[in-house]
Amino acid sequence: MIDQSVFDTNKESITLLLGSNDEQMYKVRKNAYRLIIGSLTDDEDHGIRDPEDLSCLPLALWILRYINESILTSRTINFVRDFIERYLNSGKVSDEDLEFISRVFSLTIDYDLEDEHFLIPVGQFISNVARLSGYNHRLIYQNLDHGLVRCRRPLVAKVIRETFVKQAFAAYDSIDPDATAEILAPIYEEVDEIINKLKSSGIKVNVDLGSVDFSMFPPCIKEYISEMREGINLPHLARFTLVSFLHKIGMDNPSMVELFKTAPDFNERLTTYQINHITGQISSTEYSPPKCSVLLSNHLCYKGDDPICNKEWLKHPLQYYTFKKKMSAKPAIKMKGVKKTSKKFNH
Amino acid sequence: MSLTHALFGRNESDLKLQNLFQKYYSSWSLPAVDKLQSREIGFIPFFGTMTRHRSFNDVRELSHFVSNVVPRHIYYSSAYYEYPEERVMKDKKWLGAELIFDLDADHIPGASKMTYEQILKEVKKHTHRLIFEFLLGDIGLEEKDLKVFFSGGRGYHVHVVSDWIYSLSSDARREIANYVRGEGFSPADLRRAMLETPSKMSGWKKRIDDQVVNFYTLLNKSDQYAEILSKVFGTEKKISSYVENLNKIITGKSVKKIEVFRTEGIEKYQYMDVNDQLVFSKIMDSVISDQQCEIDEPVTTDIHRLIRMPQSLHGKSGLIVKPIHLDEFESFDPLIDARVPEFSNQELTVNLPRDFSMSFGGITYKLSEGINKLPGDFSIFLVATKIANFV
Repeated sequence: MIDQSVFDTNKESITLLLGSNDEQMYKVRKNAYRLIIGSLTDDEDHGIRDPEDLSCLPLALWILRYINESILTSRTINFVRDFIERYLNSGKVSDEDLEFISRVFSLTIDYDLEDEHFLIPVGQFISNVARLSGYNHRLIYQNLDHGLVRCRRPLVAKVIRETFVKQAFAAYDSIDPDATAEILAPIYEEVDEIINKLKSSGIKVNVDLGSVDFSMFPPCIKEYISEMREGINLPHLARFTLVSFLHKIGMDNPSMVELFKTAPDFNERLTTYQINHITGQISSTEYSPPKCSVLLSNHLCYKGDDPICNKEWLKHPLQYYTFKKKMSAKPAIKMKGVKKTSKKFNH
Repeated sequence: MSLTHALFGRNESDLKLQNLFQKYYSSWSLPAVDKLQSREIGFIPFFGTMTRHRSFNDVRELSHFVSNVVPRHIYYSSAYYEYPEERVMKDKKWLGAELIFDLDADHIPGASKMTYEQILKEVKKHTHRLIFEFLLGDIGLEEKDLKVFFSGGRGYHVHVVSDWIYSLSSDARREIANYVRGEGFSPADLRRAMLETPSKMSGWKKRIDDQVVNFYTLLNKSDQYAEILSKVFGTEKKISSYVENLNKIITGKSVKKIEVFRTEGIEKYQYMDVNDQLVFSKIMDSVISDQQCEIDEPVTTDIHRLIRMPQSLHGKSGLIVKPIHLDEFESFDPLIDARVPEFSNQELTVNLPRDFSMSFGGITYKLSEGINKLPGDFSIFLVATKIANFV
C-alpha cells in the first residue's frame, strides 16, 4: 500500500537512512539508484515493483536535487507517476483502498456503493486534471452534481497520479540544494555514477532550435519549448501543435526529433513515427496547428498581454508568425494598430 | 468652454460630479472587506491616470484616503498578496485569489439594440442562472461562499470565497469558466462521453439528455423541434424519411428506435446513426445556447484581477457597487436599489442635448431637450453616463 512516507524528504530521515547498515535500508538506497538510472535508460527493471518500493522516492529526490537536471527529475517523477497509475488500475487495489490512497495524497475521493462509482470533489478534480488534454478530462463532460464528479476508476487513477506529480515536485523544491552534497556524501560514488550515465546517455538537457528564429514565435509555442527545456511533459495537443507549427515554418523532421530529446518521456522511435505522421511523410495528411480558440479551451494558450495575440484578427499561431516575420522584414513600418490592449480591470 | 476647462482640461460637469462623489465618500460606510491589508487597491481619478499597487491597513485608513482623493472609480484585487504594494507582480507574492464572475452587457447577444433597462434584465437572468443553477447547483457551493454585487454599470459581479477556491490555478479556473459557458463541446466527444456515463447522469450531460428525450417525445408537436429537423434535412420528404426510420424496430431488439430515444439514459447513444448524430448536434447547440451563462471569461481565469470595490460609486453611472443578499436577488432592481439615497433628496439642474426617456427610481421620465430640474440621483446618473451635463 502507498503511504505518506513517499514524500518524507526530511533531512534527518535521509541522514538516518544513509547512516544505517540495516538490510532494508540498503535495499531502499539501491532502489533509489536503480529508479533514477532506469528512468535514464528506459530500463524495464527500475527497481519499483511494489508500492512498498516507493519508499526509495525521498532519497531519489535528494539525489535529483543534487544533480539538478530538470530532465532527469521529470523523467524519474514521471516514471513513478506511471507506476502509480498502473498500480491503481491493476485490480490489486480495492475500492476501499483507493479511497484510502487518495487520502495519502490529501484528496478525499469516496466510493458510492449504490452507484458503484467514485466521487471526486470538483476542486480536487479541476486542480489536478486541468493540464491533461482530451475531452474525458474536461469538466463539461463530467457527471457533476453538487460539487462532486461521479466517475470510474481510470479517471480517479489519473487524478491521483497528477496529484502525485505536483506533490513530488513540491517535495523536490523543499529540499535545500546547499545541503545535498553533505547529506549525500556517504553515497557519492553512486551519485557520480548517475551523473556519468546521464552524460553518456545521449539525453539532451538543452533545446536546440537550429536556424529557426525563436523571436518570431507566438507565446504558446515559446511556452511549449520552454517547458520542454524544463523537462516538463507536454500534453499531447501541445506536442501536436509544436510539430505542425515547426513543420509549417520550415523545420525538417530530424531537427524536430532532436528538439524532443529533452522531453522527459522521449522515445526516439515513437517520436520519429509521430512527427512523420503529423508532417504527412507517412500519412496522407499534412496537419496544421490548431486554431487559437482550440488551444485556449485546452489551457494551452499563453497569450497574456502579448499585443499581437490580443488583436481581434489573430486566430491562429501561424498567423502570428507570418505577421511578425512581415513586420520584421519592413522595420521602417510601424506595427499599425498593435498596442497593448489587455483589459486589467472591470467596468 | 469654461475657464477651468480651458486651463486645466476639467469640465464643470465632472467637477460637480466629483463634489457630489465627495459628499458620498465623506460618510462612506465601506463594508468589512476580507483581508483588506492583503489586497492591491487601484483608483482612476476624475482627472489624471490610473493609480495601482496601493495598500491599506484597514477600512478607516482607506475611507480617509478615498474621502480626500475622491476617485472616479475604485478597485481592489481579487487576489491576496504578501506585499500588495509591490509594483512587479511576482514581488507581490501571490497568496490566493477569489474566483470572480463578471456578467456584463458586452457578452449578451443583441445587447447593442437593447435599452439600458433591457440590458440589466437580460444580464440579471444570466446571473441568476450562474448563481442558482451552476454555482449552488452543479459546483456545490453554499450561499455563504458567494458574494454578489451589482457592478454599478451594466451587470453583476459574483465573488466566490470558499477555501478550496483560493489556490486554484488559472487553468483550473478556466475549467469552471468553460463549464458555466458550456464551452468546448463537440458532438462526437459528447456522444462518447454519454456512453461512458454512470447510472446517475448529471451536469451538462443530463441537461442535454433531457432535451434529447424531449425532442423525440414532442417530435411533431414543437415549432422549435420542427426548425431543428428543417435545418438538418432541408426538405419535408427527407424529414418524413427520417421520422419513418425512427419508427423501425432496432435490429436484435424488439423495440422501435424512437422508443429508445424517448427514454432517459445512455442506451440511445449506442443506436445513433449519421442522421441521428446530426440532429443530436443541433439539440446540443440549442441546449448550450439556452442554458449557458454569458460571463467574461478572462476575468474568471485571471488570478490577479482588479475588480470594483464594494459600496464604491461607479464613475460612469453614479450608482453604487451594491452588495446583494441572495434572498433579495430576485427583487433587486439596480435603478432603485443601487441609487445613493442621500442624492435623491436634493434637486439638481441638467441640460439635455436631446429628448430622453427612461425609468429611474421607480419613476418613468419623459424628458425634453434643454434644461431640466431633476432628483439628484437621476441627475448624477444622466451626467455620469454622459447623457446630460450639469448646468
